Amino acid sequence: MTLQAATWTAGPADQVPWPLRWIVDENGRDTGFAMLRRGIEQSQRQAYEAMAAGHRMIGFTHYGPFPLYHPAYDGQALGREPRAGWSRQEVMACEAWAHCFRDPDSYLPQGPPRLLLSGSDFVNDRAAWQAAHGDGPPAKRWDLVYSCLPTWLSELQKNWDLARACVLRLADAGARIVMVGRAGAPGLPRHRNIDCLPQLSWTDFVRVTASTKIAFVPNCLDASPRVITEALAVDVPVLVNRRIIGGWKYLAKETGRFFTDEGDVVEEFFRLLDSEVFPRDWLIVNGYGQQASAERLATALRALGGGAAADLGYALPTDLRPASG
Amino acid sequence: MNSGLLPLLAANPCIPPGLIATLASSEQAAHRQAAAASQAASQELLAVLAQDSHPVVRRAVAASQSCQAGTLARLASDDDEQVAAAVAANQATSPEVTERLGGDQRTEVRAAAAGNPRCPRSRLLVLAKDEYRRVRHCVLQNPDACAEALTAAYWPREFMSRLYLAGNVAAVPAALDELASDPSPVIRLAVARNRQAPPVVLDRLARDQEQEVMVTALRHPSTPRYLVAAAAGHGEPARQAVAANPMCPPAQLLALAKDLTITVRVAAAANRSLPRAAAFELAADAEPAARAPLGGNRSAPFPVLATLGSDPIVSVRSRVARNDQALPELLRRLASDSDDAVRAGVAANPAASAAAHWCLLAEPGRYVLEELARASRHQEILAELVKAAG
Repeated sequence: MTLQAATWTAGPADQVPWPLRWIVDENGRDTGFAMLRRGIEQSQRQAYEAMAAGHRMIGFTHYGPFPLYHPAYDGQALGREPRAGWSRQEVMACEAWAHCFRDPDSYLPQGPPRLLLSGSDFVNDRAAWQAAHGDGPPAKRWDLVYSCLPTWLSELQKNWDLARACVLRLADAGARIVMVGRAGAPGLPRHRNIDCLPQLSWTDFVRVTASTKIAFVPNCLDASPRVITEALAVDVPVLVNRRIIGGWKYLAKETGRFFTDEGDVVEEFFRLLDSEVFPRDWLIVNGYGQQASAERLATALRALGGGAAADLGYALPTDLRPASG
Repeated sequence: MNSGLLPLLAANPCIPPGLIATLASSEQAAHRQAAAASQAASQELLAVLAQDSHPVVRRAVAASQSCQAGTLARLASDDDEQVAAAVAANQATSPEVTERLGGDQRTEVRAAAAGNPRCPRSRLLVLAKDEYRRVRHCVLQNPDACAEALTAAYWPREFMSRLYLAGNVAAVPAALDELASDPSPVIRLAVARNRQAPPVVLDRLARDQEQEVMVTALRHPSTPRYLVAAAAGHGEPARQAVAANPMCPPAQLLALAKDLTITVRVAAAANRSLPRAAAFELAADAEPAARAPLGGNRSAPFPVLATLGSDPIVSVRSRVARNDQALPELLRRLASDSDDAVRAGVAANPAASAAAHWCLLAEPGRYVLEELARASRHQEILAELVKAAG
């Protein structure tokens, strides 16, 4: 089965809350499974109940350390043990978990089957390549790209505090850096080697990524760092925080290097700059990308049993309402 | 024709005047945007581009720190939210205009004003109590915010409030002292990284149970020297952090430059306070990983750089090639290096002579032309690249 990106004609996008997504087959039809990727707020409870009533729920780790509680992510978690997050109704309803963790036992409840699979695995590598190279291969204008939107969630997950300490050292060492989403942000590190751009469209962001030599990912509490797989998809290696909770699995000698903190980021940057890498080839050969990941998810869902899952060969999480019929 | 060089040339502060004028009159908005963002753009040019029909061009003008206050004041009334926000965030904007934008009905504009170090105190106090969290968060990150505004914006039970305050150089010592005892290591780490963290706070953080916090505090230049000296005898992470501390006592640094652990020697090699004797020692280190950071160390003695410029390992030579303290003669020699990475390093080096750059133009190689377009300060070289860009 060789498929492009989702090509069915979808109905109008439903206002499904962010924590929820449908899982559809290659024709955009409902598979009977749905994704939960965050705790449900009171205002979202009704939408959740409606979805859970008609679907088998699969947990995805997409929101920091979810399903653990964390004081930054879960206001109601103040003073509560992180593992108390497992007792939430929506978490307990998950039949299986697609996760990102090196040590899943620390994050996931015991019992339901697990699969090492993240939303970032489903990168549309062909669309990314086309967006980056559609007008011809861009010149390498910068050495590093870092992205962080002007929101608290992004500044937490993209580890803005570490990032600005690192970019100053990198800039001082001669590296040219572009920070996307940081234009006008308070507390910017000022250096002639640092350019700050506003939030960009996806196409423009991918093109900027392709215009750099290395994607800089100091992210820590980022469970599904799309920025990594999108960089690899446009053949840009990555320099990643060793402590990142998700996305570590994309690091190989062909794709990038880890760094620890501002103490070693400069050396690791230069080592990566001088390395021979094959990011895009590695990504595709190792079974990432939309097609391969959808097949892998389908295999896992078939293993859960149940009539509807028996013939499933492709399973794609989506915000789009499933096609009818 | 290599039109991909155009955006790189446009970003070069030494961009030929003819090119910037050409870009400014281009039909493509991306070119006009590049002209507006150029450090070489004149006031007159910026004033013209401030009236551009495309918001991305006006936004680039609004974000330019070279832009005159009068032009910014006109852009402050722009209908486009991004343009107005860029004006509000710009430190070249007058306090009066920033004050006005701080009262804008659009949240993004108020947030931008809240983070501007030139935002008037009276307005900042109002923004500190804004109904939108993002605005209050920007006050907490404002590096020139007064204590009163930070107190008003600070919600101690909110994790992000604590994180932002912990990372703000304007936070008062008492606040940092309290946050240094936060149950979350993420918060304590932000305090340890804060360049205004007082020694008494760093003293505590240098003994933190979380290794990440401890080493960050040990690397801090304000950490008491007796602690730094004592940590030089501890485990590898502590020794590595101490070796990276610019205030590390010379005797300790000399010893750490001979440490058995490579990561410690690497940290020492990159330290700009490295004693001369230690530099010569490290230049002869058996590990290229220790020699390479020394090649990039701006404080490395010239004879050391000369030696490393002949190193058999490419990664060492390429670091020397990028070192803007390397002598022009050395860079000229490296411009003829057999390896692309070394030649690209010379191309990226603002200290390289025109002769070195001519040598590179004759036989470029991977990334060399891009580096020259970005970094060369020699007009004749840039003129050649403009021709190549078509």
